[in-house]
Amino acid sequence: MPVERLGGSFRDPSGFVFTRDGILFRQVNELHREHWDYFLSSGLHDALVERGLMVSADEVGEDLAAAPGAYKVLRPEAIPFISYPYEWSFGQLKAAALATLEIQNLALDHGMSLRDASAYNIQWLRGKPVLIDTLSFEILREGQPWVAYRQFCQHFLAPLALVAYDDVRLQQLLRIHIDGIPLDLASELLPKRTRMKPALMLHLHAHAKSQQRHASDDPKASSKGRTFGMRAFRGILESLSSGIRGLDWDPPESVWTEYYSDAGSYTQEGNEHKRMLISKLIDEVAPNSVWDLGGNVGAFARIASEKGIPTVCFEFDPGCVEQAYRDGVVAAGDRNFLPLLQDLTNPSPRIGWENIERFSLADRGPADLAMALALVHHLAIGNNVPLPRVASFFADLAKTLIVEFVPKSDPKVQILLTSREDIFPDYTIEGFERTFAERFTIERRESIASSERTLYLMRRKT
Amino acid sequence: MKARAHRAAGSIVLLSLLVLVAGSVTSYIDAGSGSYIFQLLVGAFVGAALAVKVFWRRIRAFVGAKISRKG
Repeated sequence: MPVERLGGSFRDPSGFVFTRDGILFRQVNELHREHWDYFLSSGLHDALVERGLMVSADEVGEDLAAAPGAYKVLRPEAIPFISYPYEWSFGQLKAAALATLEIQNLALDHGMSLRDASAYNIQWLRGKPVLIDTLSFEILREGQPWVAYRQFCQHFLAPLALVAYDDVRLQQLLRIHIDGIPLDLASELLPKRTRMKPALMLHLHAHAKSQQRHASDDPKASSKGRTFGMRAFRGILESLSSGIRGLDWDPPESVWTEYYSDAGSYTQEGNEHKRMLISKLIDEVAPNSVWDLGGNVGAFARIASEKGIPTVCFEFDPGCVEQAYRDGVVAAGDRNFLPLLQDLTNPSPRIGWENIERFSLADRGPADLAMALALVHHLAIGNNVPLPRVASFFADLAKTLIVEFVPKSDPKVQILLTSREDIFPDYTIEGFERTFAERFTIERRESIASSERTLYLMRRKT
Repeated sequence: MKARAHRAAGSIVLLSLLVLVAGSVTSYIDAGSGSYIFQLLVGAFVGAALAVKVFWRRIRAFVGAKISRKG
């Protein structure tokens, strides 16, 4: 049976994650026995699962272990799509931060504490942020501060504050700093007025100073007999929580303006026809996973998610991703819809140790079905990607494809061509079909009513 | 007597090592000296702030209940 240890699961000697025949398992090592047993007997495990704060995991036989030293082997509930904090919108990162603090408060209620507070331990399941690392808990060490405090501030508080007070694009610093944004950097980038906010003054600015001042001090010697009681622990969590609740970022109004302007490319009849065609084609494919590439605020992706299909909506505008999250996930409670930030011209790469700690976008595919609606002209004309390379990119990501072709005569393409020379002689419907037919079998070709646009259903050639 | 003292000392060393190893295993991430010390320094302050917050919440709830009962 092929056993493969996951590239990102190596830091914690208490256990690791591996796949066996493609099924995900988690090994709990003997080293973690005492904490694991207490995690179950204290009732914390059940409390977290009941509240939907942690994935459930069944204990299976130890004979399925992947390495010596196993105490237990678990089979966790599968996450439909693994995503990363640099792909989340502000609201998603904030929800993940508050979920982590709620989990830590619940852990304290049961005499345990989180050993880490990595944003990568949180994933999206049924529209909620959940903890996936079931080995994150240790028996509470009386009198000692939170070991994961630094990590929490770097992974959550710093990026949220930078977005709220500086610029939404600074969340991308998480892609460079895999263990969260260094606090001295965040403190330097944040405007002076954030020093007037108690939580930010304390947990970012003063915390960063303390890190510099005590970098090489022995914490035990420097503590001068001070202990850290439960009131102090709860105080830190409450202060972090109220600080994070006070951080906000709203998508600019242009999000909706631009959405309606694109929707305005169609008459109402054309738009309804397009929606009907997409719905019909999704039914025909009957996929188990859908990726909408360049999905804007998720209007078409949600046709798939509302059919109960786990659907990821990738969009490069952070405002659209935030709006999609607020409307689709928070307001409508769509449990199958996951909007994520993704610049398709520079997709998420493999990062981390040996470049395998975090997956690239393509590593997480292929999806059963990808949708590329009003996207090809942006890639081919807006970004100079030759059509054969657009086709091969889509073929890497999905087994079947619903793709829309927008001809040069369309006003939207004309806008792209206003400020540049037309160096795209192959950008014609014939050129498009000829090129895509090299990588895909074209199964359906449908004209969208009241427009010059065409919708295709294609199946990847093997 | 001497041998027993040696054994006892050996056991203490072994026990200390085990405690150290166990400690380093459970906390596999670096808490960071500055972050650790900082929490000890501000713990009392944020703990007191929380106590005041809880106290005020209770007062408000009590007064709120009284007013709604009168109304």
